[in-house]
Amino acid sequence: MMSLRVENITKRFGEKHALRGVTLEARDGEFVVLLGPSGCGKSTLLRIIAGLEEPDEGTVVLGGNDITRLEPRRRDVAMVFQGYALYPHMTVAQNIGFPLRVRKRPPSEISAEVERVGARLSLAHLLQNLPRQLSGGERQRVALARAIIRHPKAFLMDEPLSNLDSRLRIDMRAELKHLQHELSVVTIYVTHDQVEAMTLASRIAILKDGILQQYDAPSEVYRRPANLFVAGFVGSPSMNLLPGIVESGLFLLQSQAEPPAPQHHLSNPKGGAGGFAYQLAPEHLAAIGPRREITLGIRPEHIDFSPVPQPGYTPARAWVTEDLGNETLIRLSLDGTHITLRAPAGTRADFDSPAWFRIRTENIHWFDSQTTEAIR
Amino acid sequence: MKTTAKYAAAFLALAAALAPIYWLITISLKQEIDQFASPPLWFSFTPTLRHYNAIFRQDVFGRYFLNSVIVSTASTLIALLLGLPAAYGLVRFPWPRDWSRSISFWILSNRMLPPIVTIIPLFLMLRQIHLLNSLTGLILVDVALNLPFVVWMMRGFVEDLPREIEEAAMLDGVSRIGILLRIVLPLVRPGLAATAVFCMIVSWNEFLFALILSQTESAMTLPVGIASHVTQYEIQWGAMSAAGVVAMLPVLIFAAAAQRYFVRGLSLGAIKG
Repeated sequence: MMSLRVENITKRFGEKHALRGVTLEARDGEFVVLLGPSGCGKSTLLRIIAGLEEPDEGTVVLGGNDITRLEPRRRDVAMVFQGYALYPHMTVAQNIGFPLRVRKRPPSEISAEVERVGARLSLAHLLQNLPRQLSGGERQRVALARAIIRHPKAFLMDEPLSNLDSRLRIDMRAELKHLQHELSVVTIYVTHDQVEAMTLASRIAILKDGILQQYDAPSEVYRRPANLFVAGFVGSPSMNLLPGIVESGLFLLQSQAEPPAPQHHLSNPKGGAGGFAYQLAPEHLAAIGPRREITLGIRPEHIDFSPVPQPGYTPARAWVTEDLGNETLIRLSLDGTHITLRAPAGTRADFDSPAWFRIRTENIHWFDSQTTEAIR
Repeated sequence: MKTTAKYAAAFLALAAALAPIYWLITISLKQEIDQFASPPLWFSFTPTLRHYNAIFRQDVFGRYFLNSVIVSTASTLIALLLGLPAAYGLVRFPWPRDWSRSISFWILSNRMLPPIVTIIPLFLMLRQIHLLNSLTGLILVDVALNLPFVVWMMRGFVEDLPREIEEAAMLDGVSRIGILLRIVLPLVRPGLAATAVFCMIVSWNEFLFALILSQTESAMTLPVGIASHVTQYEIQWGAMSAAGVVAMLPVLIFAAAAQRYFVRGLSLGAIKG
């Protein structure tokens, strides 16, 4: 059972906290993606697992052994770097076989293994080339081959696909996912691309400012975001987040164009400058409790669009329409607040034409605007 | 600037640089009578190899030549052997605060001292450990002379290597020493070659220390040997010039062979100081 656990990891660079008390466990064979914007500490966490950085506090446990103070070379983990980090003075075959040469395996065994892994990653015809003669995708496969040849206890990958062009990236993503399934070795994968995270991960760990925000399966992260940050970060186009106020059983949208004073809302509880009031259901009210400032979160696919007035629909203006072929993204403007929705392919809405929308009540997420936590 | 003017300027610079060498070579081939003819004989003289014959017939000239080869080769090798690991350590190890910079600067500061200032202490020290008039003593002094340069040059080359490559090697199971030998050394080879050429030249041409620290023929190097043709009674221009030409050749050959590395190495190093 080769599980990987990091416990209460804290790392400071000078005054700045890169990581604060991060704890997470990856089960045997699991594909865990560390997701977050740049500077969130995800790469630092990966480098701590690799042994390239030392944590100020906390422990790293791999397969039941505390490896926190172990040198990188004694950890038996393999890493794939963003820049591939191939040895420029060695051929592809020498690069792939290098970890075995370091371990002083017999040359015949090394060349057999290199052949096998090279064939598995379609590198057989490139084995005698130097890295500089390869394309980005080929270099990436060499880096992968070098990582898998020695059957490590864990794979660490630091944005391995980010230097590839977008089509190749999608192919390699699938390739990587299947390879990881075949090898069934615990894998920690760092990315800032939420689509990559969603498609690859068995579980996603979302980091922001060195703090773990949520650690869950992709579908759970998508369906039940723990806070405003996760809600906005996961999903493309991202969730509509509409800050507002609770006032006598109503949710009142705060217009971004002209933020109304609270008194304004008191005198105009239905609509007014905010332009949007939503009758809160009793179970929502119970969950919201005494909070006043809350945020309504709704995914674009959970908003219905209508070019004509309909009962239960709120009037707005179509601001921009983006036809993606298989679907249409419509960005509405509600007194300066933008709301994005997904409509079926072929839906048309002219610039600034009147439009109507309806939020599906059952798909609303509520967040406390002050703590940013989800209200459940 | 117009092309003609550019070429004219380049030609002037070239002439200024090559004239002394031309003069040296012609003197080494002239009879004594022609050497200081007035007006000078630029091209029209009867060449002779007499001076070359003369110097090669002296046993000591071969001795000087061999001494120079030994001293410059050994001191260069030792300086590289010590300098590369030092540079690597200064660049890659986690030094507290700005120690790495301070130590590097201290190393460089050794080159700021005028060499003549150190000559008396060096003389006394070498006498104490019985290394006066010995090649070992000269080698040690030349290593000290070249080491700061090696460290500074190699620091730049090591800094230019992507850290990721070394980290990949660490995770592949290589020790620090292994990384230095299997990854860093092959990758900084052009820089190392350029640095070696420079060290060789400095050591080959080094005159001051060799003059003071080696007084016997058995330990004299070429520059000192050549200068010994200036005697109390006469200056043997022909022999001196011939010896000078012979002394120049190894450096020229070496520099030409390593020129590819030399240009690349120096410009690489120039990106990062």
